[in-house]
Amino acid sequence: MNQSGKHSLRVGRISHSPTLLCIVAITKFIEWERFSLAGKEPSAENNAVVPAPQFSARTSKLGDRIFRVLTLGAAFFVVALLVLLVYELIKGSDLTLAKFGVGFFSSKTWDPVTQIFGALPFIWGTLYTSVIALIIGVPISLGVAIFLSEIISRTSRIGELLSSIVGLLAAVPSVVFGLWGLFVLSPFVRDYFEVPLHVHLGAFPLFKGEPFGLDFLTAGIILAIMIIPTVSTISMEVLRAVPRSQREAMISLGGTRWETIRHSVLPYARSGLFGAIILGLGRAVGETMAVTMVIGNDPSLSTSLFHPGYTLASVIANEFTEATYPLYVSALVEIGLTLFILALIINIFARLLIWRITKSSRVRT
Amino acid sequence: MAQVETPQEKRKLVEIRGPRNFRSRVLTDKIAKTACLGVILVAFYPFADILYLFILNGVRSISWARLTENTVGGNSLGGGGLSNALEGSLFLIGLSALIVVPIGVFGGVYLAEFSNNNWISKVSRFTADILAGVPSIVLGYVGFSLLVLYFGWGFSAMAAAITLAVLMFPYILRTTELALRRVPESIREGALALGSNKTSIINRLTLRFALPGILTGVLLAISISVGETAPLIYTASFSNYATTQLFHSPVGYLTYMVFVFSQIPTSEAHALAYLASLLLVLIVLAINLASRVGLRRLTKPLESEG
Repeated sequence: MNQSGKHSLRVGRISHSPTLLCIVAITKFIEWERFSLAGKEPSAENNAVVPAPQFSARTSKLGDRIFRVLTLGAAFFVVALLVLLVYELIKGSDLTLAKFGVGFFSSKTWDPVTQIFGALPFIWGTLYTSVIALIIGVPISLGVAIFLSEIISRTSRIGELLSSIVGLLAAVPSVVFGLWGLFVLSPFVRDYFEVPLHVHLGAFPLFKGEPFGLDFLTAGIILAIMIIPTVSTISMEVLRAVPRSQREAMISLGGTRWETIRHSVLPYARSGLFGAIILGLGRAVGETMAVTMVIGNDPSLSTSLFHPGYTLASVIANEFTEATYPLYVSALVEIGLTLFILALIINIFARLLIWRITKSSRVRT
Repeated sequence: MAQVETPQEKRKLVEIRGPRNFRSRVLTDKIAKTACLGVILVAFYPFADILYLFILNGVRSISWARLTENTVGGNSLGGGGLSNALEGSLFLIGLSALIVVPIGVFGGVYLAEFSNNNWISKVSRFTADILAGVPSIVLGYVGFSLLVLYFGWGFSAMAAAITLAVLMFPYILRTTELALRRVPESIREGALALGSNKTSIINRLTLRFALPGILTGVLLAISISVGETAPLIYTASFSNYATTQLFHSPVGYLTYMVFVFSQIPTSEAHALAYLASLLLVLIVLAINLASRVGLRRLTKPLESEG
């Protein structure tokens, strides 16, 4: 790891001024927006969506105008930030983009010594650990969400307490999970799961290899534990958005509590729950520190659960200080770009799903 | 639960469930409920274990020297204390909050009060959601490339704080907007009827009523950034000495100690890592509890009035 002053990074050719460009673009945009909206009266449809009071030209003074532009600048700043982010990532990875092209994503060699870089082992590691995390974490998260929002009374003190604890758990720092994973979970998983599985079922490709404890399985379990608070919190919100009439209809037919949940609540909330799971996947994909501490850090394409691996995020965290020549740095930045794109797709997908259910429920209730 | 009686209802249930008698349905219900309860226990067990581990080992490694001395030896040795990291963490949080809160709240005001749900606000909201989902290590790289190298700030408090600020920005933006939207419309209408202009309505009324919600958002964003490591590794680096310099001098922080010292095989380093984790967990829990309790206390007057 790095220590102060020990960095020997030489990122080549940073001779652009993206900030200047952005500032110019923002000012132009603000001017344009101000003039284009100045003479426009808000339509009836817009008023229905946001019933904010509108002001006549008399009361809206210069101060209001300035205030409005200032706040608009702040709101639009987030867009500028994202553009800047994408620009920096593409700019930083230009060397590998030019040298390896699309082959970067399908090459399985990652060898800084011979200057050959391929992202496939890291993509594999990220997807493999995330899938393990989903397989373990999703049933548990859904169980928690169903129990806390459907089975015990929402207004009861214990239900409220447990719900807020779940929310609290989402804030536990990821290095803390990593430390726990390193000292407690990894030896536990090795001794009680991996060794017996290896001894009895070692013939299967899934359980091949000597178990060390620092491998895909441990990383997947840590990720599962970390996504549980996220997925269950969002799932609870989604379940709470299911209209009461859905449940009442089933109860009036004489359904038991479980039948009500199984046949009228869950199908209704399906897309929202799916969105919650995808958001959990997003968290698992982007998680860095905890995984870095328990995955063993070895770029491999192994299908065995007991083989050490590497993920997109952890290779950036680990090797960035060791990157001593521009091509190496550029390869790591392209890994970052890959991670960004992966997270982007996952997030957009999840937002669309959640947005769909919460929107429809708002109309009904 | 009443028995199914009319043939019509029976047919409906048969369609859903197949022909099953009452007792087995009740049994399924009980099994499913118990399974959910069991799952709760499974889900909470790791967290209980984590708390137990850190309270046990963290409390054991509390000592005056560790809390008040600076770290000795960075990557190889791992000894001394963690006062530099604690001070550094608090310094970074304070600085980043100072940077992001005004911008985030202003942006939220635009989204809730001015935007009329136009396309700019839609784009901004969507982008905020995306930015919130960007892995923090990616933000760390951009901070490194732009602030540390291009601006030439070096590993510094300012570079780290701005990177954290970017991380917190979408959260503060969205929670501010939500808090403002929850302010009753009648308050705005009342002020409007008295002839006040928009700026003073926002400054004197809506922002004040929305304050508890905004504060909660800010506190939650801070608690997220306290636990971040990835964006800081390449922007703050680490330092054995506490600093108040904004530029050109690396800063220590708690999460780094957990990450690096847990991988050094000496008991002294592990003790420091445990102590740093305990402090982190305590800070995060304290912030979260404060925001919850504070929120409840602050929202009460509004509810009773409105």
